[in-house]
Amino acid sequence: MMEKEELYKTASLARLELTEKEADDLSQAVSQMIEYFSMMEKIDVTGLEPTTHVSAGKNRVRKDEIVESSLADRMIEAAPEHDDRFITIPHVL
Amino acid sequence: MIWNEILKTEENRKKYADFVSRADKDIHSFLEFDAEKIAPPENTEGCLAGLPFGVKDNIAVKDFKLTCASKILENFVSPYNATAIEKLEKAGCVPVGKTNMDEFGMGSSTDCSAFGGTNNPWNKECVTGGSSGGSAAAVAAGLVPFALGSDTGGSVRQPAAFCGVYGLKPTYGSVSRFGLVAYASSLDVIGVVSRDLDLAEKVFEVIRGEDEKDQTSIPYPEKKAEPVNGKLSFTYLEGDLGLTPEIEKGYRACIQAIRDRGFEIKGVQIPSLEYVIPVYYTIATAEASANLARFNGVRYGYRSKNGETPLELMQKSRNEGFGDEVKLRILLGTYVLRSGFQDQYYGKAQKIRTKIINEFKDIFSYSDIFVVPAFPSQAFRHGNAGLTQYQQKVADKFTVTANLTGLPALSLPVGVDNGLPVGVQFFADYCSENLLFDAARQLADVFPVATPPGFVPAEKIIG
Repeated sequence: MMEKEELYKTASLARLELTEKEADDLSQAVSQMIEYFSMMEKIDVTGLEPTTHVSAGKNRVRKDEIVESSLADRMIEAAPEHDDRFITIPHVL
Repeated sequence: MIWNEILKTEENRKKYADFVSRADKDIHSFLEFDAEKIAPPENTEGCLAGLPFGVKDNIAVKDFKLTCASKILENFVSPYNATAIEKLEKAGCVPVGKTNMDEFGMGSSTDCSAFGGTNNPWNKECVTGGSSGGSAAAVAAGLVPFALGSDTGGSVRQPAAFCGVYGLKPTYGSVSRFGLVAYASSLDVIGVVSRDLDLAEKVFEVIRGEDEKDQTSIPYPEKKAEPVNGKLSFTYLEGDLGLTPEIEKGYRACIQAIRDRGFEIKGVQIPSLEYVIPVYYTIATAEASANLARFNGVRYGYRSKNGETPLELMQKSRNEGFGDEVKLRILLGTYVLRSGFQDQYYGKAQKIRTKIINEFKDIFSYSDIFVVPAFPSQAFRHGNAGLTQYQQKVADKFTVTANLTGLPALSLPVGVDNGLPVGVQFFADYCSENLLFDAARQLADVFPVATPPGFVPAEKIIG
């Protein structure tokens, strides 16, 4: 069973704020899965390279050229709060 | 094809919109279906000209909402089109609505939608499967001729099987992910659901191809894949697979039908199958925890009113905006990526992933199609009478391998038992989708697509 403290620490890294009840419910579900994950321990992977991506070919880059885009204004409009072209958040200091 | 008449005149469009809103009332396959937004096709000559289609609500369609069935994106409207949508519109198709799903694609029932689940058109007390349950239900109920979904661990194939229709999960990278909201980037692919095999293939041919907006997209080979031995050859997964009697029966019937058609089919084992679920969920949740970091109430989506500081704003927005299953997966993913645990979980899973890929490479070195059940059971019931979230995850074992390996797979209906469809799936080698379709066509008259109760054929909608 995962210690509550570990769960809270993980939640804080994930920027999640769990209520007491959520922590209770989730710690069981998380522990169950982590326990399941631990069956990977016994599998022999000697000599195997990790797969990060199945189509991992060579790095592909776009041509460095200007492309017209009219999305910026609509993206700013989509922000929960904005002041002209600045997205606003609560004061930092 | 009668479907291409349906959007031609304003009168037809009106009839169509009325039909969908009526028929979808007790299915709830669409989250957004707006008759006002249905426009005549921009291209009337294209190979798919005039066809309406549904789009899973994690794929961007300009001026439609893009909620991912999450409260955190409840009011977000997409300012642009996904590449797949762009291509379909050029071919003359018209997106008519956004379909329900498990929040951010996380689930196997569509019950994890923040806006309520979808009912299976075959039996309203059962789930549609997930996460592309809305797309599968809309197609099965005859509301659209095809729909797009996304498949990260079986999310197109499993609901297609639950609803008795075809579901294609293409080769990883063959369809651009631009405009698909990322869940697990190394596993995600946009797929197609349809009752019509030829139509599903045509749609795939339209949406595939390299896209400069998606670095992982690949140029699709011009030349069609050929069977390794000149004629289609099959393998099937043997052993005690833990299937319900109905699925066992359908699976056996499918294998027999292949044999009866004169094809060679032999049983194989996949030793890695017993640990694909831990590998899959380690990789999927790790990638999800990174991808979902962008939803923090700052740039778009839901913002909590209770955040006094930037940190509080993020925590509260995420906590109030995400559902339980999403939180669980973010926590799991964050945990397996924590310093000190990375090699033990994520690193290990990536190496086992290589092992799984090697096992499948071996199978496709001597055969073309690998046959495996889509899911151990038929559509299960909503709520507590069904499977727990944990049981649903364990049952993903037959589908997740296609995502871990990147191989294409097609789920197809093989009959109806006790009033619910039974599905199996075919796997093929990379970029060999044509062989999947050819193989399925061989069985199309043995296992025709059945219609759920109350099904209205397209010609009756405007008739």
